[in-house]
Amino acid sequence: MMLTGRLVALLLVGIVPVLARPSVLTVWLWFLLCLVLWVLDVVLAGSAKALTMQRQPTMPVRLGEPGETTLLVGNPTRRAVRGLLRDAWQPSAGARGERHRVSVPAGEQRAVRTALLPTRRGDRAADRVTVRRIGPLGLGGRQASVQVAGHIRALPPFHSRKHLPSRLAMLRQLDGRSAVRVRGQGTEFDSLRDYVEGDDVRSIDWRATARRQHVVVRTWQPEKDRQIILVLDTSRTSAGRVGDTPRLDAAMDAALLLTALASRAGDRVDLVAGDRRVRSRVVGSPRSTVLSDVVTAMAPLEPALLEADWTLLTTSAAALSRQRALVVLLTPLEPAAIEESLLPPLSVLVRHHRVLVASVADAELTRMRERRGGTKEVYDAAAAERTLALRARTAATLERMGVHVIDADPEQLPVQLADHYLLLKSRGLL
Amino acid sequence: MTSLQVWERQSAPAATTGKRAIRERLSGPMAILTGILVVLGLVLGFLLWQAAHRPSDLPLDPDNPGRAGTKAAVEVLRAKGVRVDVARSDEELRDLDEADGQTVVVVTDTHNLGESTLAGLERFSREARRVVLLEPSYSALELWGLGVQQEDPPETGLPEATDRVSAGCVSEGLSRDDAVSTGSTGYSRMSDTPGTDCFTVKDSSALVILPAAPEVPETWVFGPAEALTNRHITRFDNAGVTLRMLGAGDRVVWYMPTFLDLVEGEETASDGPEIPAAVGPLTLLALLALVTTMLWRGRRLGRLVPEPLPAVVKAIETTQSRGRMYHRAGDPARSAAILRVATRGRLSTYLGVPADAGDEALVDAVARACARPHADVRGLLVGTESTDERHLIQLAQNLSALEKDVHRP
Repeated sequence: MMLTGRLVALLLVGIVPVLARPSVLTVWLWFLLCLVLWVLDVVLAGSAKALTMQRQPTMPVRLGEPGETTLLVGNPTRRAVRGLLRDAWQPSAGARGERHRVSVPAGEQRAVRTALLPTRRGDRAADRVTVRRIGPLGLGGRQASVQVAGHIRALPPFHSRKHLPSRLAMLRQLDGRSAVRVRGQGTEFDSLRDYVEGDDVRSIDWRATARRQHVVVRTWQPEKDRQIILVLDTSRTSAGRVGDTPRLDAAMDAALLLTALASRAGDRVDLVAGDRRVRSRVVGSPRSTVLSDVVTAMAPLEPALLEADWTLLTTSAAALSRQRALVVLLTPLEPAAIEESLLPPLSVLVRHHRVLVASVADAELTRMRERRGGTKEVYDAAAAERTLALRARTAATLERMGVHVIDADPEQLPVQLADHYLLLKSRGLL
Repeated sequence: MTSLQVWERQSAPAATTGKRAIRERLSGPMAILTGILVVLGLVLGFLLWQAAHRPSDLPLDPDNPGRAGTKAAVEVLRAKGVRVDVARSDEELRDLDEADGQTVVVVTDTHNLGESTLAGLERFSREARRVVLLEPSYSALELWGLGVQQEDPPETGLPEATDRVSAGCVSEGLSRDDAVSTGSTGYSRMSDTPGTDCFTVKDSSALVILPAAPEVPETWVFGPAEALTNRHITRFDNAGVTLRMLGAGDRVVWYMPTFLDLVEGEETASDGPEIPAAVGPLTLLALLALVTTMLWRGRRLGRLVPEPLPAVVKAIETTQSRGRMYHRAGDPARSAAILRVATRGRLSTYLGVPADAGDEALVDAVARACARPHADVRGLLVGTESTDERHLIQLAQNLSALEKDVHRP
C-alpha cells in the first residue's frame, strides 16, 4: 500500500470547508473523507502481485562493457495491469534506467529490458523486482516486491590482450610457421629442407646431404602438448590493492595472457584457484575453449581473508599431470606467508615439475624508497628498503630451490610471464 | 542459467467463483464512479445529520449534557413549569419577547459582550425580575459599570469546586446556612454601591446582590459558575441555590453572547487577543497533511540494495606502517644501516662486485666509478657514525646522490 502527492493535495483542499465551518470536527471529517477515498483507490488498484516474472539468462560481459537483462512480465489476470516496475540490482551491477512504466494487457506478456554496466568483476546479483499499481483516482495504490533470481557475470577485463599479437608473432618464429623457416629450436624433429646461408652448420644432416647431392639441414619443432598448470592464490595476500586493482586481478590478467598464448602454441592449460580450499578448477579443457573456460572460472573469485593452504594447492596441482609440467604459482612474494607455508610443499613439487612464481610487485615501493626529503620520508624509505630486501631474500631462497621468480608491476607481469614462457619453449625446457 | 516462475495464480480458470465475477463486473469505470458518489453522499449526509443533532459542547450551555454543561439544572426548572428560552446571539435575543416582571435573565460568556450587545441586553432586561451574571470577567464588569469589581481568589492556590463556602447572609431565596462550591473568582462591592455580599471569604464574595433601581433590575453577580454544571450541581447546596436563584419567576432567558455579534472595530470585553477560530483546525489539518507527506515521500520503490564488498586493502599499507614503527622507535642507527645495506647491494650488483668480495673491494669499485675520494665513499657506505635524525636525512640523500653518480658518471 502506498499513497501519492495527490492525496496530500486533496487533504489540503480541506482548507475550504475548514474556513467555512471552523471546527476540529470538520478537519476530522475531511480527513475521514480522504481516507475513505484513498482506501477505495487502493482497493480498486488491484493486486500488485498479479504479474508473473521470469528473467531470461543474462549473457556474461567483459568488465567495462555494457550488458542487458530481460525480464518477461506476464499478466495472467483478466484486467490490464498498468504501473511502475523497478528491476533493482546491486549498485556494482551498474543498472541504468531500472524504473519502467509497464502496461500489460490481460493475458499478455511484455519484455522489460534494463541496461547493465558492471563496475566490478564477478557475479553481480539482481535484487527484488518491485511493482507499483496506482488506483483510478491516483490517490493511492499497492506495491509489492519479489525476488527474481538473476545475475550478470562480469568477466576479468583481460587488459593484457593487447600484448597477445606480438607474443604470437614470436611464437610463430619458434614453431616455424613463419615465412622463413629457421632451424627449429625445439627438440622434436620436424622436417628436412635445403640449406640457406646463415643456417647453423651444426644442424646440417650429413646423411641426407650425401643422398641428395646438396646441403640439407634438419629442422625441429618446439614441443607441443606440454602441460601448464596455473595455480592462482586467492588468499589474504592477494587482497592487497596495487594501484586501482587488487593483486588477484593483476594475477588473473597475467594468467589469461599465458593461457591465450599457450593454447595457441598447442600446450594444455589447467587452472587451480584457491586458498584454504580449491575455489575453482579448470581441468582438461580443449584448446579451443580453454581461454573462455579459464575466464569464466576466474570471474566469480574474490580474495578471501584466509591463509593459503599450499600443501593442498600444490598437491591438487601436481595431481593434474603425471608428465613434467610447468607449474605457475601466481602469488605475491610475501616473505612471511611464503616462508611459513609455501616452502615445504614446494620442495616436493620442484622435484617433479618446473615451477615458476609470478608475483605482483608494487611500484609504490620503489617510489617510497626514492623519496628522502624529510624525517618521516627517510624512515619510510628505510621501511621500503627493508621490505624490498626481505622480498629479495625470499626470491633468492626460491631461486636456490630451482624456482624461477618473476616479480613485476601489474602492467609488466603478463608480458614478463609470457616472455619467460616463450624463452622456456624456445630452449625446449618445458 | 535458470529462470524462475515466481508467482502463480493459485487457481485454474475453472475455479472462477461467482464472487470473482462480481468483482470483475464491479471494476468498470462506471462502478468506480458510482462507488465514489455513494461514499460522498454518505459522508455529506453524515455531516448534515451531525450539524443538526449535535449536542452543544460549550461550557455552561443549557443544551450541553456533558460535565461542563448546565442541562440538568435547566431540565429541573422546566419540570417545575418554568419556561426556559435560550438565546445564543444578539439576533436570537431580539427575537424573544422582552423580559417582564416574572423573567430571570441569565448571562454567561460575558467576555463576548461588546458595547452594542450590552445595550441590547440592557434594553431587553429593563423590566426583568432579576439578571444573573455568571462569572463575569473583569472587563465585562467595567463595561457594565455596576460598581462591582473582581477580586483575587480567596485563598492562595487553586480553589476546588469540592471546597464549600457558607452563605452567611440572608436574602430572597438564600438562608444563612446555604453552602455552595467555591469558585475561582470572587467579587466585592465598591464602597458607594449598595447591596448584599454572600459566601464571603476574606473580602471576596462568591455572590454579590445589587438591589433593583429605576430602569435597572435586581442584579446577582455569581462567581462559582461551576456550581451550576452537571458535574457539581449535586454537591452541597448547589442545586438548591441554583434553582432558587434562577426560578424566582416563571420564565428564564439564558443568553450566551457570541463574539460574532461584535461590530467591527468595537472594543470587546475580552481579556486576551482575539484568535480566529479557524487557526486551531487549520493547524490540525496542516499537521495531518505533513504526516501524509511524510508517508508519501518516505515510501521508496523497493528497498535499498546492499552491496557485498570484498575485503581489499592497499598493499603498500604494511610498509607504511613499518615506516611509522621505525619513526616511533626513534632508532636512526638501524634505519641508516638498512639504507646502507640496500645501496651496497644495488651498487655491487651494478658494478659486478661479488657479494663475498668484502667492503673494501666495493668501496674501491665505487670510488673508481664516480671519481670520488675513497674516504667519502667509505664514510657513506660502511660508516657507522650516524646517530641522530638530521644525520640520517643527510645520509639518505647522500646515498641517493652516490647511486646516481655511479649510474651516470
